[in-house]
Amino acid sequence: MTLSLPALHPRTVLGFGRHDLRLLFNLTNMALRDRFLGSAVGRVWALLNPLLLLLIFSFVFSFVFKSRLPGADNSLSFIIWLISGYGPWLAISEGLSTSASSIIGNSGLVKNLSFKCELLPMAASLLGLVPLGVSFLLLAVLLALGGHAPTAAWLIIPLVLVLQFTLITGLGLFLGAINVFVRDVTQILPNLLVVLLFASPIFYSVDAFPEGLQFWVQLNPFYLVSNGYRVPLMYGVLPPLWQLALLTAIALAMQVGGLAYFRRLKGYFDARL
Amino acid sequence: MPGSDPERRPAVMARRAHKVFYVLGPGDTLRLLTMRRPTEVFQALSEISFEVPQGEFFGVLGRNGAGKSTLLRLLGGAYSPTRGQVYADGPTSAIYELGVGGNDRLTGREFAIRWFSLYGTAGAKLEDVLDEVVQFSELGEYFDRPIFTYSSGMAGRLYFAVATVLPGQIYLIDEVLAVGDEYFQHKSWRRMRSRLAEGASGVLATHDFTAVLKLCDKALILDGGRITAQGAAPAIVRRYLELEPPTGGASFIGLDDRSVPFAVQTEQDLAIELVVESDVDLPLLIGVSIETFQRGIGWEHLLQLDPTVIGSGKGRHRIELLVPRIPLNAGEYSLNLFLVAQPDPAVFSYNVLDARSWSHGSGLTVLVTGPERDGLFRLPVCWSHAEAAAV
Repeated sequence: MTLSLPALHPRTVLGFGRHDLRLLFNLTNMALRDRFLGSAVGRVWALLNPLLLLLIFSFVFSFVFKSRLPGADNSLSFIIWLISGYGPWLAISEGLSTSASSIIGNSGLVKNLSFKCELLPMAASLLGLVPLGVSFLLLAVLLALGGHAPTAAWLIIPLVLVLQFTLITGLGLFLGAINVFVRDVTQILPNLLVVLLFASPIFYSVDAFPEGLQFWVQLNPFYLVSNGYRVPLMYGVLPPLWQLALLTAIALAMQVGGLAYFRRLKGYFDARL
Repeated sequence: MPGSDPERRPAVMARRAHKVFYVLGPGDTLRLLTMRRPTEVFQALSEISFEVPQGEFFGVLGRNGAGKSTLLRLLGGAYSPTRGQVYADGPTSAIYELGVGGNDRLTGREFAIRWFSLYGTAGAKLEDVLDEVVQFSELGEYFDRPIFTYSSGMAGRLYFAVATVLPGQIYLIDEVLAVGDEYFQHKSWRRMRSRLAEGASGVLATHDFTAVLKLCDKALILDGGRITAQGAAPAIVRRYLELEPPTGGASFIGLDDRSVPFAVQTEQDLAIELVVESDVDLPLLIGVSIETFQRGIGWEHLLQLDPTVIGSGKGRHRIELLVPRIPLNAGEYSLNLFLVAQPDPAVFSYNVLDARSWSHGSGLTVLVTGPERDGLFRLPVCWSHAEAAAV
């Protein structure tokens, strides 16, 4: 009796194989280059832009509005608090804007190259890593200045990072697909993001909301993300576990839902690209 | 033919493939986003079935809008068939649109690097591949300047060089062999011929029938997304060109069995007996040409005789065609005979009454036997020698 080998299936995760991972890396590089290709300062602007934004917001809120953390008279701790919430927001904003336009901006590739074009919005959302990296660097400097030592709670930060990018990727897939058919998305999105930014407790604490609303506000996934960074960095403890669980649920739902939605729609892209 | 082993799998195959595009009207967007199907469809391709053996090129002829580009993208995997199957035996090198993934602000080198990062280098070293691209495109220092500084010809050369530098196995070409000036076109054709000699297979979609004749063994005609004809390239081209069928009135008799070639030894006399039956009271002229078909080059006229009067009036005529000491070297050649009438002797125009030629799908074959020699002819040279007077 001869033994027969089972049929070899290529390893796939969520419909992606190893080849797609390499392609994702290449597409992310491409997206990064294309984003800053036309600027005279070149790729330095990718680092300079978030840095300038972080500094200007810190200046305005801390010194002009004189916001302080409740109970503290220290502007440094407020700035750390601000950046640890706003830095991730820059990543979200950058990721969502680029992924929304990723399909129509690469229509040549989509029409001519045989590949899984889900990878385009996913690669675009990964661009958010750049402003996130800049804010982490700035935070590292400020935390050192403020004499904050790393605590065990900081170990949760990589998890929050993964959850954040799962969320952005999922949303990016929705936006990227819809934008092919409703080009207004890229027009509306910047305004929408500004509204969301100020509606979420990023520049101010949750306590600013009336008691009744506070619970509902905390369900905002963008708040959950920034809180996920903020609490360990500021207070050295883990963020509330229910928040992490909720964020995981929302991020996974967005990722799976976004992939499914995108894959349903991508068969019709050629009608609009 | 090198590389076309009938027992091997076909290089490219389509089996009852269909492609449907959804047409989105203004109201359909909302339907689509809420996961309902749009109603209006456009049937781009229907019932496409054909096979391309390994080592051969296949031509797809058709007018603009017939579906050639759609078919090519279907074969290359950029589109999926809505019904039926499409198969390519290995990675395809698809040249649908030049400059895909490009951005004007990239330099030529950066574009090439980006291209190879997406398509792969098939194991070759990136540096070597880039060197070949620079050499072939002859861009020199422009290779490191942004593409927006190039002329359109230079950009075309860059894109073509990048797309064809890797010795691919299967080429899918969409009308792009006409890139650049004459010199560069010649280079491009030479490159495609050498790929062909290396055993490449491919599909060429074009409305340029000379390209199909030069490169392809078989071809098909696409019209409105359907195959209207499929077969040997010369016959298909003739049909595509809708060459006028002979008008009749007189005809060759007894030349319909074309499976037996006329055999002759090199430098021997070629004698062909023709019988012509005529119903018209006009002088009859016969034109003769002997051609050879060389892959990658096309039909070459070798020997031609302008129409010559051989008889006149109604009835049956027996004619002997004699080529004394035919100078052709060993090989297989195409013989074309045209029976023409010149209605007005003052006007240099002919009506073709009957023909046996490739362009009418009925070419005759001349098989010349003899020692293998280079070249097509033996040069009939006479030498003479005289003593030169001493100076």
